[in-house]
Amino acid sequence: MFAVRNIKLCTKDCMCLYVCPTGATDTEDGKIDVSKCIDGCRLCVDACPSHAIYLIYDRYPETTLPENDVVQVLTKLLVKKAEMFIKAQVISENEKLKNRANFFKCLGLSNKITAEDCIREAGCLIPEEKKFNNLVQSNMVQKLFKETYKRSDDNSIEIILNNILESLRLNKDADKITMFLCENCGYVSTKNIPGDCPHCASNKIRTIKD
Amino acid sequence: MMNLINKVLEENELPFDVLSLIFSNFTTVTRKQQRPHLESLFSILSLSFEIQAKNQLRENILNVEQKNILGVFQDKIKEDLQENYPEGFKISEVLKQRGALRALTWGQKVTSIQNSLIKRFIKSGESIIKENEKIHVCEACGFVIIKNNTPDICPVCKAPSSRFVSF
Repeated sequence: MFAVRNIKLCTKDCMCLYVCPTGATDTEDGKIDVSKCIDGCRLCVDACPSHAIYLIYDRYPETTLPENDVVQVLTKLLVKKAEMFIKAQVISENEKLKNRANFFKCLGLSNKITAEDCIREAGCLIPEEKKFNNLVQSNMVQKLFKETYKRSDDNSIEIILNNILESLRLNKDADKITMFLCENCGYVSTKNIPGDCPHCASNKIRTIKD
Repeated sequence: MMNLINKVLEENELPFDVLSLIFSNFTTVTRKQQRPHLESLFSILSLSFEIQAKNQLRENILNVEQKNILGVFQDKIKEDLQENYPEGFKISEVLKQRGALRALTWGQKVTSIQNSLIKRFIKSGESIIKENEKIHVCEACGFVIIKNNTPDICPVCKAPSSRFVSF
Protein backbone atom coordinates (compact mmCIF):
# COMPACT_ATOMS: atom_id res chain seq x y z
CA MET A 1 0.00 0.00 0.00
CA PHE A 2 1.15 3.55 -0.60
CA ALA A 3 0.26 6.99 0.68
CA VAL A 4 -1.70 9.61 -1.26
CA ARG A 5 -2.26 13.23 -0.30
CA ASN A 6 -5.68 14.82 -0.62
CA ILE A 7 -4.52 18.30 -1.57
CA LYS A 8 -7.92 19.83 -0.74
CA LEU A 9 -7.42 18.92 2.93
CA CYS A 10 -3.71 19.69 3.12
CA THR A 11 -3.00 22.68 5.38
CA LYS A 12 0.78 22.70 4.74
CA ASP A 13 1.71 21.92 8.32
CA CYS A 14 4.40 19.64 6.84
CA MET A 15 4.48 17.10 9.65
CA CYS A 16 4.57 14.46 6.87
CA LEU A 17 7.89 15.89 5.74
CA TYR A 18 9.36 15.51 9.23
CA VAL A 19 8.35 11.85 9.67
CA CYS A 20 8.90 10.32 6.21
CA PRO A 21 11.99 8.04 6.25
CA THR A 22 12.57 8.38 2.48
CA GLY A 23 11.46 11.92 1.65
CA ALA A 24 8.59 10.58 -0.46
CA THR A 25 6.18 13.22 0.84
CA ASP A 26 8.40 16.14 -0.16
CA THR A 27 7.74 16.88 -3.82
CA GLU A 28 7.29 19.97 -5.98
CA ASP A 29 3.84 18.99 -7.27
CA GLY A 30 2.10 17.94 -4.07
CA LYS A 31 1.91 14.27 -5.12
CA ILE A 32 3.63 11.78 -2.84
CA ASP A 33 6.39 9.88 -4.67
CA VAL A 34 5.07 6.32 -4.87
CA SER A 35 8.46 4.90 -5.86
CA LYS A 36 9.90 6.06 -2.53
CA CYS A 37 6.90 5.26 -0.36
CA ILE A 38 7.53 2.31 1.98
CA ASP A 39 4.76 -0.30 1.89
CA GLY A 40 2.71 -0.13 5.08
CA CYS A 41 4.84 2.53 6.78
CA ARG A 42 1.92 4.98 7.33
CA LEU A 43 3.92 7.41 9.49
CA CYS A 44 2.71 10.37 7.41
CA VAL A 45 -0.91 9.24 7.62
CA ASP A 46 -0.78 9.24 11.40
CA ALA A 47 1.30 12.41 11.66
CA CYS A 48 -0.90 14.68 9.60
CA PRO A 49 -2.93 17.01 11.84
CA SER A 50 -5.50 17.57 9.08
CA HIS A 51 -5.87 13.89 8.10
CA ALA A 52 -5.02 14.82 4.53
CA ILE A 53 -3.12 11.64 3.69
CA TYR A 54 -4.69 8.24 3.07
CA LEU A 55 -3.51 4.82 1.95
CA ILE A 56 -4.16 3.09 -1.38
CA TYR A 57 -4.30 -0.66 -0.97
CA ASP A 58 -2.85 -3.23 -3.40
CA ARG A 59 -5.30 -5.94 -2.55
CA TYR A 60 -9.03 -5.85 -2.10
CA PRO A 61 -11.23 -8.58 -0.59
CA GLU A 62 -13.59 -10.49 -2.87
CA THR A 63 -16.98 -8.82 -2.87
CA THR A 64 -19.97 -10.88 -1.85
CA LEU A 65 -22.68 -11.32 -4.44
CA PRO A 66 -26.06 -10.00 -3.37
CA GLU A 67 -29.14 -12.22 -3.34
CA ASN A 68 -30.72 -13.06 -6.71
CA ASP A 69 -34.03 -11.32 -6.02
CA VAL A 70 -32.26 -8.12 -5.07
CA VAL A 71 -30.19 -8.24 -8.26
CA GLN A 72 -33.35 -8.72 -10.27
CA VAL A 73 -35.16 -5.67 -8.93
CA LEU A 74 -32.04 -3.49 -9.09
CA THR A 75 -31.59 -4.57 -12.71
CA LYS A 76 -35.17 -3.53 -13.54
CA LEU A 77 -34.38 -0.08 -12.17
CA LEU A 78 -30.94 0.39 -13.71
CA VAL A 79 -31.97 -0.69 -17.21
CA LYS A 80 -34.55 2.12 -17.31
CA LYS A 81 -32.16 4.65 -15.88
CA ALA A 82 -29.44 3.71 -18.39
CA GLU A 83 -31.96 4.24 -21.16
CA MET A 84 -33.01 7.64 -19.81
CA PHE A 85 -29.35 8.63 -19.46
CA ILE A 86 -28.67 8.07 -23.16
CA LYS A 87 -31.95 9.63 -24.31
CA ALA A 88 -31.39 12.77 -22.25
CA GLN A 89 -27.81 13.03 -23.53
CA VAL A 90 -28.90 12.82 -27.16
CA ILE A 91 -31.56 15.51 -26.65
CA SER A 92 -29.09 17.73 -24.83
CA GLU A 93 -26.59 17.47 -27.69
CA ASN A 94 -29.26 18.51 -30.19
CA GLU A 95 -30.57 21.36 -28.08
CA LYS A 96 -29.44 24.84 -29.09
CA LEU A 97 -30.70 26.80 -26.08
CA LYS A 98 -28.11 26.56 -23.33
CA ASN A 99 -30.49 26.26 -20.36
CA ARG A 100 -32.54 23.58 -22.07
CA ALA A 101 -29.41 21.69 -23.06
CA ASN A 102 -28.18 21.84 -19.47
CA PHE A 103 -31.52 20.64 -18.13
CA PHE A 104 -31.40 17.47 -20.20
CA LYS A 105 -27.69 17.03 -19.55
CA CYS A 106 -28.31 17.11 -15.77
CA LEU A 107 -31.31 14.82 -16.05
CA GLY A 108 -29.10 12.39 -17.94
CA LEU A 109 -26.26 12.72 -15.42
CA SER A 110 -28.62 12.11 -12.51
CA ASN A 111 -29.85 8.91 -14.15
CA LYS A 112 -26.29 7.83 -14.90
CA ILE A 113 -25.32 8.21 -11.24
CA THR A 114 -28.36 6.36 -9.86
CA ALA A 115 -27.89 3.60 -12.47
CA GLU A 116 -24.21 3.20 -11.54
CA ASP A 117 -25.20 2.95 -7.87
CA CYS A 118 -27.62 0.12 -8.71
CA ILE A 119 -24.91 -1.57 -10.78
CA ARG A 120 -22.53 -1.52 -7.81
CA GLU A 121 -25.13 -2.95 -5.46
CA ALA A 122 -26.10 -5.60 -8.02
CA GLY A 123 -22.62 -7.10 -7.84
CA CYS A 124 -20.27 -4.92 -9.92
CA LEU A 125 -18.67 -2.93 -7.11
CA ILE A 126 -15.04 -3.16 -8.24
CA PRO A 127 -13.43 -4.95 -11.19
CA GLU A 128 -12.39 -8.46 -10.13
CA GLU A 129 -10.50 -11.08 -12.09
CA LYS A 130 -12.92 -13.98 -11.64
CA LYS A 131 -16.04 -11.98 -12.36
CA PHE A 132 -14.53 -10.09 -15.25
CA ASN A 133 -13.37 -13.40 -16.70
CA ASN A 134 -17.00 -14.54 -16.66
CA LEU A 135 -17.98 -11.50 -18.68
CA VAL A 136 -15.24 -12.20 -21.22
CA GLN A 137 -16.06 -15.94 -21.36
CA SER A 138 -19.67 -15.08 -22.08
CA ASN A 139 -18.35 -13.56 -25.32
CA MET A 140 -20.84 -10.76 -24.83
CA VAL A 141 -18.39 -7.95 -25.31
CA GLN A 142 -16.60 -9.44 -28.33
CA LYS A 143 -19.89 -10.32 -29.94
CA LEU A 144 -21.24 -6.82 -29.57
CA PHE A 145 -18.22 -5.29 -31.18
CA LYS A 146 -18.11 -7.87 -33.98
CA GLU A 147 -21.81 -7.40 -34.66
CA THR A 148 -21.40 -3.69 -34.98
CA TYR A 149 -18.22 -3.63 -36.97
CA LYS A 150 -18.18 -7.01 -38.74
CA ARG A 151 -14.43 -6.84 -39.07
CA SER A 152 -12.53 -10.05 -38.46
CA ASP A 153 -9.14 -8.55 -39.27
CA ASP A 154 -8.86 -6.42 -36.15
CA ASN A 155 -8.59 -8.24 -32.81
CA SER A 156 -8.16 -5.05 -30.78
CA ILE A 157 -11.06 -5.85 -28.46
CA GLU A 158 -9.49 -9.21 -27.57
CA ILE A 159 -6.21 -7.44 -26.91
CA ILE A 160 -7.85 -4.90 -24.62
CA LEU A 161 -9.91 -7.47 -22.71
CA ASN A 162 -6.93 -9.76 -22.21
CA ASN A 163 -4.86 -6.82 -21.02
CA ILE A 164 -7.54 -6.01 -18.43
CA LEU A 165 -7.69 -9.65 -17.32
CA GLU A 166 -3.92 -9.90 -17.00
CA SER A 167 -3.73 -6.64 -15.04
CA LEU A 168 -6.41 -7.90 -12.65
CA ARG A 169 -4.83 -11.35 -12.32
CA LEU A 170 -1.29 -10.09 -11.70
CA ASN A 171 -2.57 -7.14 -9.66
CA LYS A 172 -0.11 -5.06 -11.64
CA ASP A 173 -0.27 -3.19 -14.95
CA ALA A 174 0.03 -5.38 -18.04
CA ASP A 175 1.74 -4.00 -21.19
CA LYS A 176 0.96 -0.39 -21.98
CA ILE A 177 -1.15 0.02 -25.12
CA THR A 178 -2.12 3.06 -27.14
CA MET A 179 -5.74 2.98 -28.23
CA PHE A 180 -7.76 4.84 -30.84
CA LEU A 181 -11.44 5.70 -30.58
CA CYS A 182 -13.67 7.01 -33.34
CA GLU A 183 -15.88 9.60 -31.67
CA ASN A 184 -18.44 9.27 -34.41
CA CYS A 185 -19.20 5.55 -34.42
CA GLY A 186 -17.32 4.21 -31.39
CA TYR A 187 -14.86 2.06 -33.37
CA VAL A 188 -12.00 0.98 -31.10
CA SER A 189 -8.55 -0.08 -32.26
CA THR A 190 -5.11 -0.75 -30.85
CA LYS A 191 -3.69 -0.40 -34.37
CA ASN A 192 -2.80 3.09 -35.50
CA ILE A 193 -5.55 4.56 -37.66
CA PRO A 194 -3.58 6.54 -40.26
CA GLY A 195 -6.44 8.51 -41.77
CA ASP A 196 -10.17 8.28 -41.37
CA CYS A 197 -12.15 5.70 -39.42
CA PRO A 198 -12.16 2.36 -41.28
CA HIS A 199 -15.75 1.83 -40.26
CA CYS A 200 -17.50 5.15 -40.81
CA ALA A 201 -14.84 7.31 -42.55
CA SER A 202 -15.09 10.06 -39.92
CA ASN A 203 -11.95 12.00 -39.06
CA LYS A 204 -12.86 12.38 -35.39
CA ILE A 205 -10.29 9.91 -34.08
CA ARG A 206 -9.18 10.26 -30.45
CA THR A 207 -5.91 8.79 -29.28
CA ILE A 208 -5.96 7.36 -25.76
CA LYS A 209 -2.44 6.90 -24.43
CA ASP A 210 -1.87 4.84 -21.34
CA MET B 1 -21.57 -9.89 -12.03
CA MET B 2 -22.82 -12.96 -13.93
CA ASN B 3 -26.10 -12.57 -12.05
CA LEU B 4 -26.59 -9.11 -13.46
CA ILE B 5 -25.63 -10.22 -16.93
CA ASN B 6 -27.91 -13.25 -16.85
CA LYS B 7 -30.85 -11.21 -15.65
CA VAL B 8 -30.56 -8.67 -18.41
CA LEU B 9 -29.86 -11.36 -20.99
CA GLU B 10 -33.19 -12.97 -20.15
CA GLU B 11 -34.98 -9.89 -21.41
CA ASN B 12 -32.72 -8.45 -24.06
CA GLU B 13 -29.04 -8.85 -24.76
CA LEU B 14 -27.04 -6.60 -22.46
CA PRO B 15 -27.78 -3.26 -24.15
CA PHE B 16 -25.06 -0.76 -25.08
CA ASP B 17 -26.22 1.77 -22.49
CA VAL B 18 -25.96 -0.67 -19.58
CA LEU B 19 -22.54 -1.91 -20.72
CA SER B 20 -21.39 1.69 -21.01
CA LEU B 21 -22.31 2.32 -17.38
CA ILE B 22 -20.78 -0.93 -16.09
CA PHE B 23 -17.51 0.18 -17.65
CA SER B 24 -17.86 3.84 -16.61
CA ASN B 25 -18.27 2.62 -13.04
CA PHE B 26 -15.07 0.58 -13.36
CA THR B 27 -13.36 3.66 -14.81
CA THR B 28 -14.30 5.70 -11.73
CA VAL B 29 -13.29 2.88 -9.35
CA THR B 30 -9.87 2.39 -10.93
CA ARG B 31 -9.29 6.15 -10.91
CA LYS B 32 -9.91 6.21 -7.16
CA GLN B 33 -7.66 3.17 -6.77
CA GLN B 34 -4.88 5.07 -8.56
CA ARG B 35 -4.66 2.51 -11.38
CA PRO B 36 -4.47 4.74 -14.48
CA HIS B 37 -3.60 1.85 -16.80
CA LEU B 38 -6.85 0.00 -16.04
CA GLU B 39 -8.71 3.32 -15.96
CA SER B 40 -7.81 4.08 -19.57
CA LEU B 41 -8.80 0.59 -20.72
CA PHE B 42 -12.21 0.69 -19.04
CA SER B 43 -12.70 4.25 -20.20
CA ILE B 44 -12.32 3.51 -23.91
CA LEU B 45 -14.77 0.61 -23.70
CA SER B 46 -17.27 2.77 -21.82
CA LEU B 47 -17.00 5.62 -24.31
CA SER B 48 -17.36 3.30 -27.28
CA PHE B 49 -20.52 1.74 -25.89
CA GLU B 50 -21.92 5.16 -25.04
CA ILE B 51 -21.33 6.38 -28.61
CA GLN B 52 -22.90 3.22 -30.03
CA ALA B 53 -25.90 3.57 -27.70
CA LYS B 54 -26.48 7.15 -28.81
CA ASN B 55 -26.15 6.23 -32.49
CA GLN B 56 -28.56 3.34 -32.08
CA LEU B 57 -31.07 5.70 -30.46
CA ARG B 58 -30.69 8.28 -33.21
CA GLU B 59 -31.39 5.59 -35.82
CA ASN B 60 -34.56 4.49 -34.10
CA ILE B 61 -35.97 7.89 -33.29
CA LEU B 62 -35.45 10.08 -36.32
CA ASN B 63 -37.12 13.10 -34.89
CA VAL B 64 -36.40 13.09 -31.17
CA GLU B 65 -39.43 15.01 -30.00
CA GLN B 66 -38.75 16.54 -26.65
CA LYS B 67 -42.28 16.67 -25.39
CA ASN B 68 -42.90 13.01 -26.13
CA ILE B 69 -39.59 12.03 -24.56
CA LEU B 70 -40.45 13.84 -21.33
CA GLY B 71 -43.78 12.01 -21.26
CA VAL B 72 -41.91 8.73 -21.75
CA PHE B 73 -39.56 9.63 -18.89
CA GLN B 74 -42.51 10.36 -16.66
CA ASP B 75 -44.04 6.98 -17.45
CA LYS B 76 -40.81 5.13 -16.64
CA ILE B 77 -40.37 7.10 -13.42
CA LYS B 78 -43.97 6.45 -12.43
CA GLU B 79 -43.47 2.72 -12.90
CA ASP B 80 -40.31 2.81 -10.78
CA LEU B 81 -41.87 4.87 -7.99
CA GLN B 82 -45.10 2.87 -7.87
CA GLU B 83 -43.81 -0.64 -8.45
CA ASN B 84 -40.09 -1.26 -8.60
CA TYR B 85 -38.92 0.81 -5.64
CA PRO B 86 -41.58 -0.56 -3.24
CA GLU B 87 -40.76 -4.08 -4.45
CA GLY B 88 -37.07 -3.38 -3.94
CA PHE B 89 -37.58 -2.15 -0.40
CA LYS B 90 -39.64 -5.19 0.53
CA ILE B 91 -37.11 -7.67 -0.87
CA SER B 92 -34.08 -5.88 0.59
CA GLU B 93 -35.63 -5.67 4.05
CA VAL B 94 -36.64 -9.34 4.04
CA LEU B 95 -33.20 -10.43 2.83
CA LYS B 96 -31.42 -7.86 5.03
CA GLN B 97 -29.38 -6.36 2.16
CA ARG B 98 -28.48 -3.00 3.64
CA GLY B 99 -26.29 -1.90 0.73
CA ALA B 100 -29.16 -2.35 -1.70
CA LEU B 101 -31.45 -0.61 0.80
CA ARG B 102 -29.15 2.40 0.75
CA ALA B 103 -29.07 2.54 -3.06
CA LEU B 104 -32.88 2.25 -3.14
CA THR B 105 -33.35 4.93 -0.47
CA TRP B 106 -31.18 7.46 -2.27
CA GLY B 107 -32.43 6.37 -5.70
CA GLN B 108 -36.10 6.73 -4.81
CA LYS B 109 -35.62 10.24 -3.44
CA VAL B 110 -33.60 11.32 -6.47
CA THR B 111 -36.15 9.78 -8.85
CA SER B 112 -38.97 11.71 -7.13
CA ILE B 113 -37.00 14.91 -7.52
CA GLN B 114 -36.38 14.17 -11.21
CA ASN B 115 -40.12 13.68 -11.54
CA SER B 116 -41.01 17.06 -10.09
CA LEU B 117 -38.32 18.79 -12.16
CA ILE B 118 -39.72 17.23 -15.34
CA LYS B 119 -43.22 18.32 -14.35
CA ARG B 120 -42.05 21.90 -13.83
CA PHE B 121 -40.10 21.86 -17.11
CA ILE B 122 -43.08 20.59 -19.08
CA LYS B 123 -45.12 23.43 -17.62
CA SER B 124 -42.66 26.34 -17.74
CA GLY B 125 -39.70 25.27 -19.88
CA GLU B 126 -36.27 26.78 -19.33
CA SER B 127 -37.73 29.63 -17.22
CA ILE B 128 -37.45 27.31 -14.21
CA ILE B 129 -33.78 28.33 -14.30
CA LYS B 130 -33.70 31.95 -13.16
CA GLU B 131 -31.16 34.63 -14.03
CA ASN B 132 -28.38 33.85 -11.53
CA GLU B 133 -29.19 30.21 -11.13
CA LYS B 134 -27.43 27.04 -12.18
CA ILE B 135 -28.31 23.36 -12.12
CA HIS B 136 -26.33 21.43 -9.51
CA VAL B 137 -25.96 17.64 -9.51
CA CYS B 138 -24.59 15.63 -6.59
CA GLU B 139 -22.01 13.23 -8.02
CA ALA B 140 -22.49 10.81 -5.13
CA CYS B 141 -26.24 10.19 -5.42
CA GLY B 142 -27.61 12.09 -8.44
CA PHE B 143 -29.62 14.69 -6.52
CA VAL B 144 -30.50 17.66 -8.74
CA ILE B 145 -31.33 21.20 -7.65
CA ILE B 146 -31.67 24.58 -9.35
CA LYS B 147 -30.38 27.50 -7.33
CA ASN B 148 -27.72 30.21 -7.35
CA ASN B 149 -25.02 28.50 -5.28
CA THR B 150 -24.03 24.89 -4.66
CA PRO B 151 -25.79 23.45 -1.60
CA ASP B 152 -23.61 23.16 1.50
CA ILE B 153 -24.71 19.58 1.97
CA CYS B 154 -26.69 17.17 -0.21
CA PRO B 155 -30.11 16.62 1.39
CA VAL B 156 -30.27 13.06 0.08
CA CYS B 157 -26.85 11.58 0.79
CA LYS B 158 -25.24 14.30 2.97
CA ALA B 159 -22.22 14.71 0.70
CA PRO B 160 -20.44 18.08 1.06
CA SER B 161 -20.68 20.85 -1.56
CA SER B 162 -17.35 19.73 -3.07
CA ARG B 163 -19.14 16.69 -4.50
CA PHE B 164 -21.50 18.79 -6.62
CA VAL B 165 -21.04 19.67 -10.28
CA SER B 166 -22.77 22.74 -11.67
CA PHE B 167 -24.02 23.64 -15.13
